[in-house]
Amino acid sequence: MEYLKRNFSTFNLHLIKTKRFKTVSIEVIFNHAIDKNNITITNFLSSILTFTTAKYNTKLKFSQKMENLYAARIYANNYRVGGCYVTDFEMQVLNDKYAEKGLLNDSLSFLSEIIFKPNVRDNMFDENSFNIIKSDEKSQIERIKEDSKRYSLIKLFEHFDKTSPISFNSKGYIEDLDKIKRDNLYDFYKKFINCSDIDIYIIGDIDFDYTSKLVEKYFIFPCKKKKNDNLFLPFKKHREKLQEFVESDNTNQSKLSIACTIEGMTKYEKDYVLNLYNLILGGTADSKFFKNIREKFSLCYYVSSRAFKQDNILVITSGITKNNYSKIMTLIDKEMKDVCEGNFSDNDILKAKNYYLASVEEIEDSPLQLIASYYAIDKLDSDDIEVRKQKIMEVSREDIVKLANKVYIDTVYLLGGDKK
Amino acid sequence: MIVNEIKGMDVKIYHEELENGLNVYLIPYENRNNYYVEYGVKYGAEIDEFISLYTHKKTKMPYGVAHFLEHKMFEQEDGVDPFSYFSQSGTEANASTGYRMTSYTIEGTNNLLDNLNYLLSYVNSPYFTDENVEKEKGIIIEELNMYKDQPENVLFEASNKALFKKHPIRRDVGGTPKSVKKINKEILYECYDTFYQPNNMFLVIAGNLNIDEVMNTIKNNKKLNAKKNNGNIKIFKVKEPLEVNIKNKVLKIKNMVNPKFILSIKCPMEKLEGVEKYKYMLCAEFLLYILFGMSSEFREEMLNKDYYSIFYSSSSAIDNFFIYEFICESKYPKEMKEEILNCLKNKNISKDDVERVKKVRISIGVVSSDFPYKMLDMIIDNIIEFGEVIYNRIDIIKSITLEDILKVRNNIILDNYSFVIGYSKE
Repeated sequence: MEYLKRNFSTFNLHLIKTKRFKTVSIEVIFNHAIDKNNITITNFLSSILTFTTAKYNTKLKFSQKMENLYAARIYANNYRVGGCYVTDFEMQVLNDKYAEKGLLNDSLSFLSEIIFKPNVRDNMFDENSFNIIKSDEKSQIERIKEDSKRYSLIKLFEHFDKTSPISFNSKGYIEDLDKIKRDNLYDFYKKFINCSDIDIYIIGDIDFDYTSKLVEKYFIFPCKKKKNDNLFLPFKKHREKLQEFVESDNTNQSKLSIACTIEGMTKYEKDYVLNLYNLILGGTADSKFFKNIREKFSLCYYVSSRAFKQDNILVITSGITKNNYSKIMTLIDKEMKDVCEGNFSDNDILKAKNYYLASVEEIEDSPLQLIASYYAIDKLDSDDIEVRKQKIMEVSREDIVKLANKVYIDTVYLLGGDKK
Repeated sequence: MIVNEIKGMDVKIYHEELENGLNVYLIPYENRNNYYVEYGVKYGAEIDEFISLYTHKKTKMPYGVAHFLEHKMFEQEDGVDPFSYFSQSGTEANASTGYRMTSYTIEGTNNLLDNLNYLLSYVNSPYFTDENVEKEKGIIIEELNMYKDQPENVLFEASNKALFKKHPIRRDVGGTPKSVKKINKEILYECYDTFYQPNNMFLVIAGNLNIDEVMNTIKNNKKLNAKKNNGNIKIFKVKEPLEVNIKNKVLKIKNMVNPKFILSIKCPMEKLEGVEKYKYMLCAEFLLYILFGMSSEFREEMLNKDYYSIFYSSSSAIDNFFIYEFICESKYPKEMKEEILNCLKNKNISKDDVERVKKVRISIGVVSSDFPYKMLDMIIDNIIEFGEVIYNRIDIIKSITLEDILKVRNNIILDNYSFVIGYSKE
């Protein structure tokens, strides 16, 4: 695998050459400092840009164009990384060798049309596309309530810290949606495209010179680049007494969600120790949570933990019978204290390390994971795959215990399960 | 061992039927770190009446036994939990139960031979006790409760109940809390011994593997070798009438914010097997793509009318029926339903449409061949659906004509549908 980073004045180009895949994957990544008021309009914009363009001005024409590019796929993804809101236009096409010569050229040309030649007239987005996307965004925002796991996490984070980006809802807000008009959306587009932190990744069996020239030809951004440094959020000190919220809802199962703060982690702890701590505690079907709460006491079908290093938090979720709430809290507490006191075996550490190694080795099997890995090296100062494999093995029991003692349960939210 | 190549995809599939009847398929990939193993049994939630190996008599079991077995296979006599064993090498293990099959999977980057050996051993050594069976009920009932709170799941279940009068697909794969409570270790052993026989199972491995080493490991596995075949398993299917059970139904569903509906059309299907069945299903898939796919005029028109925010269609063969299903989130369910039926009946399709869909289908196939797990899924889907793996798929796709598709379209009985709408409860 070969990697080449080329610095252009307005963006960085990252080329990864590998013979592993029959496809070429492209990502154009815009990185903006997060602003709660802009989440909804950013989502709206990325949806409308990938819906129609000036030339392919109906959904039908747009879809037929994709078919002509040998069923190419295009997605716009929006997500938060720490204090940034990332918009990523992702395209996957067959390598020229499996389709026809010139497909990469045509695909990059089309992707640039999507970004630079929107379906706009008289400084306003096309009315028909606008109305369709508006209706679609509205139902997407409303639909969050249908997913009670996700909904309860949003409520948990609102209670945890309303002002922190952690609590921002990445699906957006109805109040903000109502304010979006065809003209102010276009104004926003101009600002959006004037982004100072843009990266383009292309991975596949590609020729660096040829691909680089294509990108130079098709992607001309207006703004001078400047690296965004909000990717890590500062940690929040935990409350003296944990706060607890119980909300009734007439459902069969209670959704239990717990937010823990992690105080004062070092970079090394974020990159390595935290992974192992989480795997041992609740990250796998062999974790302390799974073995002791599900298997030993039959109290739930799932109970797991996830760590977010940019946010300095650990989140625990489970689906339970409401009557068992205090029993489960006691067990969760006990498992966490056990790790703090070093009550886990050397074999637990070794297994967690092996999980980590396998997940790192897996990266090379997926074009999108490879892009994410190079992105993390570039943006989050992560180590490369080989260094990661070495460093994880050096993590000691003391490291894990030390980190465990920086983790505090801060907010607990229990939703529903009141159906008789 | 037979080697088959899927032309145009650069994928080779090695197949061998072992002496004990187990079918093994291997799909080696160069340049991959990961491997995927799936060990499956053709026993799922749609089987509840069969000739028991114990009594040789027709036996009816409580609902949810196949799923219960899936949970309990992870219990081992030596007390070692398979999850724990696999995690020694950072390997992930899982299992799932459907209507037609149950499968046990592992996914990892190292220790394949040892893990494979363990997988074959643990699935072939059940260990059920009164105590461990009782303990599992709490976990399974929580799992069932979780699904009951998912609005889309409630709608799907209602739709299956409207479409079918008797077919087991009307029920949840896991059964009901009541039926789960009836299951005991005797029932589990009886069903296990009846269905978990090598000739009723299959093993598929894709990714980073060496053919000879893998075959050697499989052939030398003691637990697998100790397994006998007890001949063909006799299963009884319920007699399901062609007519749908309920034509129109409106439901209030907790937490369903925007109205959604499922429109299902139940059509008769002659008994087809292998390539013939593959071709039939492909024609139906192409028909739906042309009429309702991303680049269809229908989608464009309906979007302009603001008739949907989610809309997709699918087709499936269930016993001697062929089902067309339309899932939609819509503010105008009734109008949208009429539009779908009208399009299905009247919209013309052309030779150009057929050529276009073929190109798309072939391209998607090439893309999916980049992913070993997608090839593994395809093989298993073929085994279950067609009883064999369809190797010359690209040639079959190319051979499909407009007439083939129109013939399949002619079998649709437009007014034999069930139409189930779910609204918000609040």
